[in-house]
Amino acid sequence: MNTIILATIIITTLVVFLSLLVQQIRRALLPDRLVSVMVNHSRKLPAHAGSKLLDALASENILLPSGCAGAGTCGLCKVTVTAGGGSVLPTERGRLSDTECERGVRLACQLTVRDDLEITVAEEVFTAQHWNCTVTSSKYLSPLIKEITLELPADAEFYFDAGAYVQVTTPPFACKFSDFHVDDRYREQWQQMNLSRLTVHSDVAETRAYSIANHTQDKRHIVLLIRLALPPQSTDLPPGKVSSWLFSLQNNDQVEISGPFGDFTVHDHRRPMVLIGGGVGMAPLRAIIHQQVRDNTNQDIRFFYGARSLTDLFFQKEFDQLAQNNKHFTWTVALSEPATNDQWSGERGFIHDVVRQQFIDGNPQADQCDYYLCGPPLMLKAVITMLKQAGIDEAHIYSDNFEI
Amino acid sequence: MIDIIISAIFSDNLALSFFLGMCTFMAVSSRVETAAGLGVAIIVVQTITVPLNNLVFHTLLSENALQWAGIANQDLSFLKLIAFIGIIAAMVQILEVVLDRFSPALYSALGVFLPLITVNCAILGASLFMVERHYNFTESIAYGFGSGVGWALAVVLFAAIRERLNQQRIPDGLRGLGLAFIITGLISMGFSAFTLS
Ligand SMILES: Cc1cc2nc3c(=O)[nH]c(=O)nc-3n(C[C@H](O)[C@H](O)[C@H](O)COP(=O)(O)OP(=O)(O)OC[C@H]3O[C@@H](n4cnc5c(N)ncnc54)[C@H](O)[C@@H]3O)c2cc1C
Ligand code: FES
Repeated sequence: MNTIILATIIITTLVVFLSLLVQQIRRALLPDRLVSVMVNHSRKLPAHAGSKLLDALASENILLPSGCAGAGTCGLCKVTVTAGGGSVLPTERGRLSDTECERGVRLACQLTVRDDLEITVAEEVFTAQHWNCTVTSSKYLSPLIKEITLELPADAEFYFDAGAYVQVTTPPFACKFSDFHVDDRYREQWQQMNLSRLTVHSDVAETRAYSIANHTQDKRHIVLLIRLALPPQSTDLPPGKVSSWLFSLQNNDQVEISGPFGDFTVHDHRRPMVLIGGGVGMAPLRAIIHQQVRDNTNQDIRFFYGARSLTDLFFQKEFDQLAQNNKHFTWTVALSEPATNDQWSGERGFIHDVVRQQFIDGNPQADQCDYYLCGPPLMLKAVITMLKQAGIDEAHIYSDNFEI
Repeated sequence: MIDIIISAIFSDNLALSFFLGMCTFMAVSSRVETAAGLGVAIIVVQTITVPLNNLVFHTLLSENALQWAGIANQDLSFLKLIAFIGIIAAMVQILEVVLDRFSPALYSALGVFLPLITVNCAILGASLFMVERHYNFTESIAYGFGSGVGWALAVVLFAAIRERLNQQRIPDGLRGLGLAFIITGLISMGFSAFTLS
């Protein structure tokens, strides 16, 4: 009996003591203070010391884009810190280039506010709009890529720079791949990959970024190119949430979007442009090409696009025609693994090799061009390495990284 | 002393001889960098908690420990499990706060691992071994440090191997955890050679 009482007393005292200790230390070291965050030299906001900058701004209704719920993996929540903030954290390094680090760019979701801060955020954060759009068409471009057209609510108009992206937010949902409508052309491939076994669900709203693929002058529609994010082969992991949800949509379904965001836009309207892309990296590049051609900027525009085989290639006619009608625009497709029945007489190989052979090697003008890259992470990496080896200045390479 | 450290690192390696802390071991060993971060966190936590638990055990819980308070013939050592867990959890939290305050860079490198460590059985295991083996206070510092280093060494080694494997073609059935466990087994056999001398 004594032992029980004694044990209870001791363990209770110990636990209470430990809890008090932790609390006291926390209070002593991380007191709840209010500090101020100066945004764009004009708005001064209060923030709790110890909170993340992303949350602090959000509670003051400044909603930075964020595609990873603050995990530090999407790199969308960039802000430029002009005073305070400490040094760049290892968790931010992966998403910031060396030049960005030097300029004071930080990830708001990783930066803990400790003292007064001065930051600048893109103006678009204040001007970004929010809409419920309606799906007006949804069609397959390749086995795993769909073109989804959204119409804005009546009377709304959408102004954006070519190359920008919007954020799509899903409701909580569940969907089965077996319920998807699959194009007859691709049914066999879907069966081969046994995709109908896949299911995916989300109990919370999810937000992801998607580039706008249409002409900037169409102010009533937003066209997205969506690549279905499949799980790594021979795993039981679920497929990508938002891309699956977008694939499940049918005409007249509602989609919540906000935007436009992003700085992957044309930086110089005189220098010749070389655009290099693959997969759904097509989206922002297509918008940029159409904008530049329509604005008649008289820049030479070269577009290199890499696909695996002919089934993965889309918009071929459109660009062929554009090239025919416009002497400043040329485009080159390279297939890395043409299928046996593809009857392909064009370029073969990886796009970075093709760009080097066709454009870089022996071209004295190569370092006079601006390079715009968008595509799968591995491709981007290979192209950037190739360009740097060829002596192209990093300041003239712009890339949009989709990987998060 | 040196004996205790060396044997805790090699022959009595917590991860490879006792298979403690396996869930964290498997989960964070896909990259050497993260594994090293976690390793350092474990070393720090181990070096603090084992001696602290030793102190608490000998002043409060072990047989006749409460004699200083005038209470004789009481053996509360059955409380050690729950007491140790509480102490470990508290220490990890304090460490988190201290890092957060004084070294944001270290905090963001190790911070994510600290909550993982609270529930890591290797940490609790080390404290329990410390009791079982009747270490005194200084010995328990050595043991805490040694066992931490041992676990860190194991996880970094293992992560290095897994990084290599990621680039190999591996038969379907073995991919992922299957092969990971086999490799752990093999390294562990290698480590058991240290016991033989
Ligand atoms: C600026 C920008 C523009 C973009 N533009 C486009 C665009 O135009 N078109 C486009 O298609 N995409 C675009 N993206 C990418 C897009 O935002 C999404 O990242 C992409 O669609 C995947 O999101 P998801 O929700 O479908 O997948 P997620 O749910 O985020 O999953 C991602 C991947 O992880 C896998 N996975 C799931 N669970 C696990 C697990 N436990 N372990 C390991 N893997 C797991 C999934 O199978 C999937 O392959 C853009 C991104 C950015 C940042
Ligand atoms: S929200 Fe900061 S990196 Fe994704």
